[in-house]
Amino acid sequence: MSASRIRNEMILASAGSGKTYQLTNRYIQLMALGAAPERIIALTFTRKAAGEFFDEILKKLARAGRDRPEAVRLAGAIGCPDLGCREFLDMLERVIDRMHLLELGTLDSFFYRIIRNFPFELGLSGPPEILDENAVRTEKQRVYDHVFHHPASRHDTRKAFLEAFKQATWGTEEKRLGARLDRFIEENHEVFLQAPEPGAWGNPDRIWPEGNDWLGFKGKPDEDIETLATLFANRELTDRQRETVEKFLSALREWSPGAPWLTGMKRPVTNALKVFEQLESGEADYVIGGKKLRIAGEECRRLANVIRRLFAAELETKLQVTRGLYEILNVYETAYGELVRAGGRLTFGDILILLSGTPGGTAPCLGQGNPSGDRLAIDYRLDGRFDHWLLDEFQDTSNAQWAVLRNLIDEVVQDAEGCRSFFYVGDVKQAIFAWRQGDVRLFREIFNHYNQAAPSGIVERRMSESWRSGPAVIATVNRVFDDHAAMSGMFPEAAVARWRDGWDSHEARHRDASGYAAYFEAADAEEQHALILETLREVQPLRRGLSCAVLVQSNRKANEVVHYLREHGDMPVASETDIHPGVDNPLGIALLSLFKWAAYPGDSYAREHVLMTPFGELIKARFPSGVAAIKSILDGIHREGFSATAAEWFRRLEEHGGIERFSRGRSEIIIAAARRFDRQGGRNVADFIDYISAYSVRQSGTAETVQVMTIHKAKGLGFDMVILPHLEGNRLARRRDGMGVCQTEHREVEWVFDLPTKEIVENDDVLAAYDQVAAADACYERLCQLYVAMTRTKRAMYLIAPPMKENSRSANFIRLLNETLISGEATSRRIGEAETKVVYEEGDAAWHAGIEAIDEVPRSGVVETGVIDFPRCVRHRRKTPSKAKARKINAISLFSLDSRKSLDFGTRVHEIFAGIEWFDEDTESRIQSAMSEEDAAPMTVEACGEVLECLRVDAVRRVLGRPDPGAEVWRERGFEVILRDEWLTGTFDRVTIEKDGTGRVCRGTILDYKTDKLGESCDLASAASEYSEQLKTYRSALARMTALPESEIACKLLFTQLRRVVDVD
Amino acid sequence: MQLERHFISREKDLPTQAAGYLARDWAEGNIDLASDLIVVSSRQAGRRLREALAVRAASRDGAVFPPLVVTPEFLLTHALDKHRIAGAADSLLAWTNVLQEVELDSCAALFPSAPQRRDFPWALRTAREFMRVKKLLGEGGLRMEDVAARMPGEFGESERWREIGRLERLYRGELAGWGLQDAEEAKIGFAGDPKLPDQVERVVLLAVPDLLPAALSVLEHVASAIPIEVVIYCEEERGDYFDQWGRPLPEKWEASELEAGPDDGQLHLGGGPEDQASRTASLLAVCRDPAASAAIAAPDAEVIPFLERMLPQQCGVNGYNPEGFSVKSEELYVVLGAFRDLMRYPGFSVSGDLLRCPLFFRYLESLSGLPGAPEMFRCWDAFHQRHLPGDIDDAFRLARNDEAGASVVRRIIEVIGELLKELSGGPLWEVLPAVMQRLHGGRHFDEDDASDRRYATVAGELMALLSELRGSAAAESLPRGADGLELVLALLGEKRIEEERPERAVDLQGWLELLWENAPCLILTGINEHSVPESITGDPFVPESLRQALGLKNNRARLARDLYIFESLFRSRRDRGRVDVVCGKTSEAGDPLRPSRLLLRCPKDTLPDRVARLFADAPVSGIRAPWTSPWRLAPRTAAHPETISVTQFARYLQCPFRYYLTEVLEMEPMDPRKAEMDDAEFGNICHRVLEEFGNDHRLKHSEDPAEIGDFFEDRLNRLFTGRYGRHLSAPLMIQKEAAAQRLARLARVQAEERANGWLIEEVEWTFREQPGLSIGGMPLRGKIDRIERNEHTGLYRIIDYKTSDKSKPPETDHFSALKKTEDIGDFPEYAVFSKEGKDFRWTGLQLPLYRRAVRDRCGDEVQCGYFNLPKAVSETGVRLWEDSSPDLIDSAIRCAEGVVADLRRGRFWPPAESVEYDAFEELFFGDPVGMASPERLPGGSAGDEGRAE
Ligand code: SF4
Repeated sequence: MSASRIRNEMILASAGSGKTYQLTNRYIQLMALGAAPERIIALTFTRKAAGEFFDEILKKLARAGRDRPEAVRLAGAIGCPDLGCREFLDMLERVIDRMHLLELGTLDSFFYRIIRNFPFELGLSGPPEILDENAVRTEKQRVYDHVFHHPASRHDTRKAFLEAFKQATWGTEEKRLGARLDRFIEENHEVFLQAPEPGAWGNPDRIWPEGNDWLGFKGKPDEDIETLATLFANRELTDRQRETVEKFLSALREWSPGAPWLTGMKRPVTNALKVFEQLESGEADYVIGGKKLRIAGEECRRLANVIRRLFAAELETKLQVTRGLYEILNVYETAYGELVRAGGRLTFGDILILLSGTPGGTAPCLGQGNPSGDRLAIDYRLDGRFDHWLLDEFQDTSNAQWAVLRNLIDEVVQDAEGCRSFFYVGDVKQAIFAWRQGDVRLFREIFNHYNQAAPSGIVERRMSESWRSGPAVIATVNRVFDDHAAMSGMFPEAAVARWRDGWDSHEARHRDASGYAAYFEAADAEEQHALILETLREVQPLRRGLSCAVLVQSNRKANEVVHYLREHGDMPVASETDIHPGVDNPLGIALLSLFKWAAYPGDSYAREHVLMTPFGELIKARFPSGVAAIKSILDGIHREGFSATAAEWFRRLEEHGGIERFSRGRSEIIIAAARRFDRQGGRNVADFIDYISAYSVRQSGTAETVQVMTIHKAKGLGFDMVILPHLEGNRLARRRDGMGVCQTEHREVEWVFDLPTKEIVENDDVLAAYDQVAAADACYERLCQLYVAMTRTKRAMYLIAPPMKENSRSANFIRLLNETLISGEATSRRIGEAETKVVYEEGDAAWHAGIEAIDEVPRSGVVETGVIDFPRCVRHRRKTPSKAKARKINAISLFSLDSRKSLDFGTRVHEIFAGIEWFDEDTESRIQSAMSEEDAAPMTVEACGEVLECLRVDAVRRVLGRPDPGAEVWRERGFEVILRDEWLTGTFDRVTIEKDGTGRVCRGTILDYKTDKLGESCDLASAASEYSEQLKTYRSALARMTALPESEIACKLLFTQLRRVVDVD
Repeated sequence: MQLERHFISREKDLPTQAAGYLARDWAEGNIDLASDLIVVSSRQAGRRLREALAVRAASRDGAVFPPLVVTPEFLLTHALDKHRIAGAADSLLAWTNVLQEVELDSCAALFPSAPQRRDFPWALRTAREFMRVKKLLGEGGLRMEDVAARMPGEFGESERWREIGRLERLYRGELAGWGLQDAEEAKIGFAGDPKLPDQVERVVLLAVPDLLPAALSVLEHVASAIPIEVVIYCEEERGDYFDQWGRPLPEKWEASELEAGPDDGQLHLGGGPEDQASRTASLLAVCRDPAASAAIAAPDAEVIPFLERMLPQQCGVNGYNPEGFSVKSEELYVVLGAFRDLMRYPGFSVSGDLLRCPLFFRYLESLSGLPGAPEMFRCWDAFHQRHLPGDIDDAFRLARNDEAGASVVRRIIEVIGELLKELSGGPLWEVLPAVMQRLHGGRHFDEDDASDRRYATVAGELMALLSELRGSAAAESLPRGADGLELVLALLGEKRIEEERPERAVDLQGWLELLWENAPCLILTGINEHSVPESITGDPFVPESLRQALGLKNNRARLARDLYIFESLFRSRRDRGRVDVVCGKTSEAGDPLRPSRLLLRCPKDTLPDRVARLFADAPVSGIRAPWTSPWRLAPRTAAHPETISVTQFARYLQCPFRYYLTEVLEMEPMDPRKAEMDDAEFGNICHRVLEEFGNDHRLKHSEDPAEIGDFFEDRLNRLFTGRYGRHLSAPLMIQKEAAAQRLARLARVQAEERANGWLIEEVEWTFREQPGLSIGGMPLRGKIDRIERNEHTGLYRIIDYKTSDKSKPPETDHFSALKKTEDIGDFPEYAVFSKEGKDFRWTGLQLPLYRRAVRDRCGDEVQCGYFNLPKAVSETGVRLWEDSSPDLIDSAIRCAEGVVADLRRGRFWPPAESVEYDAFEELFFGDPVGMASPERLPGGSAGDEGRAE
């Protein structure tokens, strides 16, 4: 067998059909066919998924390596029936062996690796630094500051910026820039990156290549309105008609283009549009004030003019606004690029841009194998060669991501030998990340693309058997999503067609599993909440060891549900939303106030807040004054960092009166978060406050809690039971808010346009067409959302929604569920204290009855083994004699280069003295000649001079002279000794050892050179006493080494500058 | 070659064994090893060895004349002439010079795309990357230019390496011009013709499992003259697992089972770093005296801070990290960074950051004429809030002396200016010490104080660096100012500083130090792939394949080394201790981690179980506590002011407790990032324009909108310039624009109003001191924007300007109908009234109180209302209070009296559950009654019943 047998494959895997199972099998199959694991690259979207994927491969191999039936099963599943435990064990070994080389991770991390290894190729200057969300915020602030203030931008940039801002807010004056700008950037940053060229923004030639009928109409608005006023004044009208007309006309007078339409405009305009052709023909039945009015001639002409000019002005304005917005983004992006990206600080988004390049830009494309032209050959520098590609969750892949991968995959699919392979898997029905640029259409497009080039180059496999959900749930899912007829009646055809294309009727793998699916009606939010609670009480999932989730559409709803359940319920509830541990508790905000007050004492809010808390008492108790407290906090922050300072204050609180368990938990998180902030080196309190305020962590619940989360977060997860409340909402076919971005087939941005009001969009062919497409896209995505929600559960699903309003035609979730699920009569039922109408049910409502409550499981931890007495190992305090005494260093000498110089000088002097064995008549001349050597450094000359001066002094000559012929001298001699349990490391400058007649050591003299610069008038005795500790230590050491009594050891200091020898006792 | 291998058994710990080996001939007296050269793998290893020797000598009352204990690096560097070798600073400078000058086009293979900005910071970063590569190659005895020649053809990057070689030559030339030689190249040169220090008679290579090729070639050379003993810490039977230099042989270690390793009971799985640390702590707690018998290895640096925090709490010992700390997070480094930023752009807010550095504010405090630090901050911040300056020059111009605090700001700016000037005015080694001396003034650093000691050490490093720069031949080309400082910081930032080991501490060792660790109880934590075995995949210059081809240190060799170390840790504690291993599931950022391959080295038949164990889900630790509050907020006692202003009533009516906080305690948050006017300031500046207009005796008669408009524009410009200077920031320009637009429309309306007979009599009429104007005996303060009188009818009207975004009728600010959810009993009696059968409550009393204030002047027949200047300019105009029946006004006054009576009684409790725009939202967590306590309020909790009655 060889890897060449492996085919390229696309798998459409429905929810719960075992996507991970397929992926891991594929991986193992590739290895079974001889592929080296390091040549298989598998990429997914989340770090968690990547981690699980890897773990699963190893666990699978381990099971098959240990257990024969497992081996047989796995061998069968991957189509290599000959394999047994042995082979799988070998594979396991191989994977472990190459673990460090395996490329199993997220797309982001893969892209980061590429960037890191091609910095110069991508215009960087070294390895980039990845900015996390929190750091980006600080950078953004810098960029704003720059755009607002920086002198370099004072004239050009700022002017341009201002113009742009005016343009972008055309018609609506704006007095606060900061917040608005933040919003602009937040909302439109992605669009800008997709279309960085100004030509695409608000460009009528691009939007209406065939021209636009409305645009360019000037007319004489005032005249038209006034004439119309006169004409209507002379008509016979009902009171209501007159009132309507007057309101309409006065609104028209007041209104300026770009501003929101004024009351009284909408109805008359829509009605006029309905008969616009008649108006143009000069005779029309115009409905005004609720009644038809026949108008003709001048009336028609003027009314048509008014409408035309309204449209023209509105479109014109919106075009301008769009262009203005472009300019703003451009200024911001340019500044951001220069200040942040150019310094190598990138987000994962930036990395993608660098790699995918901008349309028409010059980003290199990636390749494997040999570098050629402007391709970056990744294999070599990444230390990897990737033959087999596995891409997971492909429906969420964005075009930019695909643009980076495309060339690499091309090589694989077109590989002449066929030894390489491409495999991608995903579910087009779970494409809920379009707002993050996931493009579900790629799934089929690339399939078609490659198969066009080489028929059956990629084979398609569809998996619709659910291993997760039981038959009751699956039947319900099928009823809703199989009913294409019902869908067609409600939703745009494009959306339904796409749905049909990706849909296969589902089957439940475990046909006999008991389970339940129901649809309950509850009138309002309060009743829905109550119903959730009663359902939970009835089922008691946690007691039965069942995992349970409540899935909702928004974070806000999630919080509401959590709030309700916590307040009224009696079971642990976890909100799977991000929490902000820095500010979601009184302790955290008090700490921030404390720091803020210290840095900004003028902030009376922070100050008073601190004083209301025990921090206030602490300050009063510990510090003589507020000023002292402020300085102490700032000292702490600057010297030890925010983390240590926070920890210190928390500690004081603990001492003061204690903190309860919850707050203590928070304090630990804050300390750790602060440490991450500290690591970036910042000391700015405002930055710190921003950081901690925004710092969020994902809290994940366990089987021990009811988990409440958004549908988006539930993707990829499975639960034993799921409750889906709050299904109400807008119609599904509604274009998402924000910029209109029209793309070509190849995903190049055709145009960007801040679309005008609905009335106008609907009456312009181009915009209307765009709107329809966008609405269909949105509709499809919403269907995916419902699908994801309904497929999370293994056993039971409870849909909860208010009854459909009688006259509602709004095609939303409720309508879809109503039309597909409800057939018979609704029954009333009492669940606990709640009353509900069951409009649909399938399976066994008492599904849970057979599952017995379980006892508490002991929680796992480190096994207690009792205290062990290990042998002690000797550890000594280390001491160096010259450091015997702590000093106070004054700042002047600390920051003086001269003191560094004297250090060097001292070393030179020591060296010269060390060169003297015994002083004799040649000593001086030797030093002199060293001094007069040609390349002698000035410092050497100076040092020699000093030594020579010393040598003129008798006392010096004496201590350096040989006392008797048997004497021994040590120069610069190091020693190590253990004295009184301290480990002493030192070096003697000079030791003279005398022996008596018998050759026994009888006396020792320690001489230490001191090159301190002392003033003439200095008190030698006290200078010497500074060193007495040091010399005492030396003496003890020497006593130990020579076995002399300490009394026989003399210690002397030679102060070289004063040329004085001093005895020390 | 005199090369001999010796084996010392792993029955006992390495330091003891090594000392025993070295002193094997010693019988008594001192151990004299002075003529030995001992090569060990690290300084820490050397320390452990010397201690072991001293202990050995002490056993017989002797001392040690220590050998020369060195790391392999020493072999290459000891004889080099320091003055001729380029230091790190010299090399960086040379590279940056080359990079700034070279034509990038001539290096198209190296720099295929142009850098975004080719400035000094770019050159610096790039230079450091080149230095990294050069060092890496140097370890293998290679120069950059050697690579192109030695590189196997299939790697396909030879052109790139030729270009790098060319740059290297330019770099070398640059150094040569200064009379210097690159350090790596000098070592390579030396290795070709090496010698050892004179006194050396024997060389011992002592347990060095990863000797660098360059050092090895030195030893090869000297081996002909001096005997070399290679000592391997392993049993002799395993001799064939090592090469003759004592390096583990990859082919052997890769292929065989370990002789010792963990059993399942010694393997522990942790979650994130915090969880790993806590597991480590509980393992350590098992050891009776951790400080004397335990050590921890934490090759994953992320775990260390958590250990440092948890060990003292849970085990009563400190964690000591011999790696020391990075200079980058030290105060002095941060301050220098602030100066660099300021030299690049002296922004006002960056200056504010500097101001809050203790170093700087202490210096300022020492100067004459400046107040204490908090007062300085207050002045500075108040100035910022008021003038929103961009940089310090703007600020200086705006700081006129007639304003409180302005002189302080001026003085601070002057000082900053002087410092910046001084810093840019000469070579850094001259100016920086001078500035530092000045800033630190008469400060002393006490060596006994840990924090002082750290500070002084960092300062010492800085000075050493500057001194090196000064002495360098390259000094001339060190840029001045910000760029130079950038370079100094880059070099300084690389330093790590050792801390003194505290009493009772457990060492947190690096992986490579572990061979020398002799603690019997050893916990290895964070044993995850990529931390250990250390492996590097991918490199922009020298990927693994090239490393192997060039004979550089590579992953295979590292793995062999780490397997050997790992085995030895277990082997050497088999009979005298225990090793536990903790391996993590995720990093701090949540990335999944894999267990180290070392842990998966086990007999093949146990591998599946090992995998099952190591790849299991991490056990969940700890249950979450329910939300609780550590305290109730107890605002301090303060007295209500003597007077009350008309606008304050609304706040009391909204919520008495919040009123207490804002009006009595005067709590007002400050936005340190403020970059534009807030709503009140925006309103004020419009008011000021209108005030000046109303005071202009000629113009207030004008019916000409153009004339009025011109006046407005002119005044607006002047006011903006006066307050914010000539260079308005972008947000201010926009606000000015907005104000201008609103005023322009107002000019038209004003002209119409005038034409209708309204003439301004008074603007900004203040009635603070009006005698007899009081409510319930409390003097009333207020300011009426405009009092006008109609020339035709003689009627008075009082007008309040409103600049909020939406136009609104005055009634909405004053009363509102009770909501369905509200009960009349929820409010004090004085605050409610009924009208036409419906219940209303007072929410504001401004206009009725104005009427009361002007009663003496204008009588009872007064109209009042708002002059709205909203965003939608079409809605600009006067809106009058429609129903001004005396009953209503009386009710309002009664209400005001009720409020004052309550104030007198100190009734500030209970708070309203919720209010619109709650300034205290973040303090109350949705439950003001539960979160706050009235205990210290002036009325005490008495207010509680007060309201319930
Ligand atoms: S789940 Fe949360 S993050 Fe995801 S789209 Fe919905 S609201 Fe946004």
